[in-house]
Amino acid sequence: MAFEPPPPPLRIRHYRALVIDDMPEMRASLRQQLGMLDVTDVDTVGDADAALRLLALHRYDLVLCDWHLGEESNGQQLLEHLRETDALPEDAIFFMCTGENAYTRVLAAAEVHPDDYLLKPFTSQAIESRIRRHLARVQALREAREAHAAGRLDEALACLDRVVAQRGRFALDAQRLKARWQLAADDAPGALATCQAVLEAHPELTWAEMTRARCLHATGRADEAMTAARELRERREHLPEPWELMATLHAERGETDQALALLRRAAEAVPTSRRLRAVAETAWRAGDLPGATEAWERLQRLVRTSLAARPRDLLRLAQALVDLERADEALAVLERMPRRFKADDTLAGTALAVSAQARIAAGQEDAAAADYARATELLDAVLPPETGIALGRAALACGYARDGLRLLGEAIQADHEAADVERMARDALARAGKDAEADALLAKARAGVLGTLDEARRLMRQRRAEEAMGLLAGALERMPANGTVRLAAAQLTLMWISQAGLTPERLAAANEHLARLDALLPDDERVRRMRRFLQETLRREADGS
Amino acid sequence: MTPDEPLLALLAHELKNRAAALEGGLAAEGASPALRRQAAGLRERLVALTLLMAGLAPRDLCTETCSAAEIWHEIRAGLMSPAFPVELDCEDPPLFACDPRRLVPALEAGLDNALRHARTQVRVSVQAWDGGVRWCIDDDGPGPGVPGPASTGLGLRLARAVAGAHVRHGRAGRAGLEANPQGGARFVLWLP
Repeated sequence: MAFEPPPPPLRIRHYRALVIDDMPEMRASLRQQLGMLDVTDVDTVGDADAALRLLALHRYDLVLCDWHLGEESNGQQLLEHLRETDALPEDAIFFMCTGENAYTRVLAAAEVHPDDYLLKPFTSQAIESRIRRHLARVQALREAREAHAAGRLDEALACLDRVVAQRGRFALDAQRLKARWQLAADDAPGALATCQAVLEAHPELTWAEMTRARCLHATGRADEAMTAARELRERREHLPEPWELMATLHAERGETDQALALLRRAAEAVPTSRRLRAVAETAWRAGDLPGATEAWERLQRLVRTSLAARPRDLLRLAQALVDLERADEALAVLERMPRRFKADDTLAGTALAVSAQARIAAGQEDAAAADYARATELLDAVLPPETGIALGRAALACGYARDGLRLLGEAIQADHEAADVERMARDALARAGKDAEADALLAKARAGVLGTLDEARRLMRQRRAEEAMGLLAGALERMPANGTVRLAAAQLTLMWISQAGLTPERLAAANEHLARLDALLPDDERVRRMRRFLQETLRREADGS
Repeated sequence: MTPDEPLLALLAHELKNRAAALEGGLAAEGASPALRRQAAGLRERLVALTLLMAGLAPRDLCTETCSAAEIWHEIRAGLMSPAFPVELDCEDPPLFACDPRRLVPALEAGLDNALRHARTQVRVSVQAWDGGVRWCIDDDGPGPGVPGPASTGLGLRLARAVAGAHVRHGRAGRAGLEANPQGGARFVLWLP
């Protein structure tokens, strides 16, 4: 007869903990329970805003967050916000606490999970038990995570396979991580197989169903992805992810209205900055300025105290308010712009360009001219397209028609592939009563660039890479601010590397193009994809040598 | 007057949270084990009440693969100076799928019942059984069917609800009280 020995004591005395609960008596009770585990360095707060402030100031090892945080927000929203903004250290433990009434709903989070759940009322033994389990899970997956962090994906997946094969406590966690990493590495068929295996053993496991739907989408099986997302939505109505995937599928079919309605549902379910931004930008692209403005305003309220505020959201909101003839509100938004944004010349210059437009609309012509003059002082010759558009619009508003047209033309040249830029330029011309000039301006802006690019691509196809590069280098010398040319140069350099191999010169050229593109086309998916490709190539080279 | 169910549920919920706060307060201030046991008992009963009122279905579980050892450790750590030594009798603690947040209170209810009825000993064991795992809590008391001190049957109903919500491959868990082959009662909880 054997007896199970007690586990070694849990050494967490040094932990710093944060308790987030809207009920004062629960905060006191949780502090006591942590005290019984020797955790005495405990801060307690009653709402998400206060939690965000403390999380920005201190490094916590353990966060106990109640799901219900008053009428305004909930723990899931806070958690997704923290994950989106990297506001929680990688190894901090986040436990979601919930009562019986919300437990089922809280459990069904599809993709952004806390490290564990505690069902209220719980004892200090339950906290201890969940911390133990969490630490054991971290240990079981440590090797895989380390390999993954070092960019050794194959090794990381092999580690996870070993955890799965042992059929231990964390096999399912390993499968979940595997599917996520496979999908992130563009191996959708592999991720799909992982999800199918999980679903055979655990039908209706929410994360596996959701990842499966994403994999179907990524492998081009759009109809099946739609069916899968719809089924999941019907069973778990409060989940935002199925709504979002359906929105993406509708948007791909060109059904913008349906996409927008679905994104709104997702943002209602769990309003995070990313979701509100998606609503705002989709509405804005669809020409629904009031809808976009409303979403951006909600976004500003949500991120007002945090570092998650993004300058582009503020600038687009201000521009939309100008366009809606709400100039005073636009000026107020610009006024509230955080100081750290104003320290950046490009951002400050863009803000002044929008401000100049608002002041013209408000009848303050001298102030507008001063803002415009200051903007041109701050801004370089090389402008990101949106900044160029804002400055061009300010020029047109202030009556400098020639400068305005030139700036808009340059902005289109800077990224002729981006539909947003073209739309903004056309809109700017229409608002200035210059519709007639739009087509000519767009045609002229493209002609010079496109001819060169076509020729370079033709040379590349004929494997005359050096000549193609020479042609682009000449074009870049003439138009250093041209994102389109820079994008093509980066693409052709990467193509060259994959055709003819990696050399230090080619690597240096690729890195130079990508670094320039970061400034020219901030936040651009095409640039991100190229960077991933380059990293992947470097990794393969390192493995091969 | 007919009972107003939402009101009752609200009341049970409120009382449950207050009981938990009371329990934490007593522990923090170093109250006697007897007082703390009373507070814990109150909380456990209110948890059972709210859970039984809300009903429990498979979708209300967060199932994970657990070791019997970790489940037992959590229960053991919550026992305040039991009258008899209580240990888990198990060669090789099995791994099994369950929601520990539900299972721990259900087993605590069984253990609480055994401790109240036992004369000299309580034995807890767990083993792989019939394609799942079986937990047994044996006491040497008067045996099932004899109403004991403060027995309301609430604990057993909680255990049945929790076991029944654990469904795997079409089989649901079960819990019950039967005669212990060595005399006394045996609380059995089987999960698929």
